Amino acid sequence: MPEITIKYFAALREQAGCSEERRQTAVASAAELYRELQAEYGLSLDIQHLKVAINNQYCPLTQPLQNGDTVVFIPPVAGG
Amino acid sequence: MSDRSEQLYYSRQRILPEVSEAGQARLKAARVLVIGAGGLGCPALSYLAAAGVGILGICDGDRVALSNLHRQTLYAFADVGEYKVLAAAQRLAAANPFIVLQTHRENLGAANARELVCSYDLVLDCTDNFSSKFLIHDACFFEKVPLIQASVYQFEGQLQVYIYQPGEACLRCLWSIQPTPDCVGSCAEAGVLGVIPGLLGTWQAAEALKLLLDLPGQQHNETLLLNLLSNDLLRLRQSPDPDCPLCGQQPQIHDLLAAAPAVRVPGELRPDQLDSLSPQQSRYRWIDIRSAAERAESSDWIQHTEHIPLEDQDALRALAPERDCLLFCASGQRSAQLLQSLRAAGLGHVYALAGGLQALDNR
Ligand SMILES: [Zn+2]
Repeated sequence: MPEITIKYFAALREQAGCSEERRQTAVASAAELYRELQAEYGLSLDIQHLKVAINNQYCPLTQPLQNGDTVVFIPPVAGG
Repeated sequence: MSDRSEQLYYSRQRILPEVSEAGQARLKAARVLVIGAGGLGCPALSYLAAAGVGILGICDGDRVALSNLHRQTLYAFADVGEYKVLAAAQRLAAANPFIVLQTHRENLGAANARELVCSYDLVLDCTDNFSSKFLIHDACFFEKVPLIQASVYQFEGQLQVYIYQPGEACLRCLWSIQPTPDCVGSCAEAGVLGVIPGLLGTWQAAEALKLLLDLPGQQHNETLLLNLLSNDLLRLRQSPDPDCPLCGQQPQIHDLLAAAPAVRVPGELRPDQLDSLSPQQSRYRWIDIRSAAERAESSDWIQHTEHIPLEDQDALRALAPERDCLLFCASGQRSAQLLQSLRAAGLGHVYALAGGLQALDNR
């Protein structure tokens, strides 16, 4: 199974309880990956409030995942 | 004598070949506005003032609070209760008498934002909420004033630079509509470690100096993302979106959006709560309930909405439940009343646009 590195920021980091993890997963896209994580960690943010970057490039949530990809989910942040 | 002191003041940065006499003169000629004199604004202001930015504007309508002091290092204990712009200007003037400080003791709104930013060469957004960030971004976009924006959350920060040149992505290329405040916490709710705005505000000042001095390595088309707990520093590349409602090929936003209208009736949705401001892309059926005469005077995009005038109650009560419907009128009055009666009749899939077309502004 492909291995994916996931980085968590802001509220997602709080809820996942870590900044980064690696996982083997069969999901096809970033959106499916988020649903898998949402089910596991009870992530409260709806996927429509998130942006995703794969290998440091913002991309659509439907982007297919490949072995070795680094996926960053980014919630909106406004503090100052 | 005074001129000699000024020479000496900047001597350690002026000996850098990248700065030199010419660069120092550029800084002195520059007009930079810092909006928000809080956690991000304090370090940004300190370093820009010390570097010799000739005209430094400070905009903030708030007073210093005790809970600010752990991260807003310009202020003394005795400043609590004082206007931030006054306390900050006093401290900065004492640190560098060779610059001009301009204070704007006001909160930004659609009425004053463009006018304020257009008298500066560069703006630093050091505010702490989405409506200010979108407002400042759009104002700078329309006035073509470069913007350096930062946001922080607990142990993390983000930074973006927008120059507003063709081929460049803007904030709305990524976030086409403003996120609602409830989908993320503020500093007050979620907490923040003081050094985080300290780091990001300092970084904003650094990007500002790079831009003013035309140094290499300027941020462009990317988000800088810092996580202090993992020491991760990511640079996420962003491409312009041709469908962006602000900078895209068919822009839908032509001026600053007015403040979000109040929601008074269950099922009313503000523009920022919609999935899309484009009826063609929205998951809602957009239904214009105005008269044919009003509709005829509308902009072209109205053609992409359906027309069922308020008088046609039979058709409105028979709206098919397969797809959620969004009723709209000019100001939100009629659509709110209709919404109430339709909801009372059991139509749970019907919604209304709070504030009506006026809330969408000059689309
Ligand atoms: Zn854009």
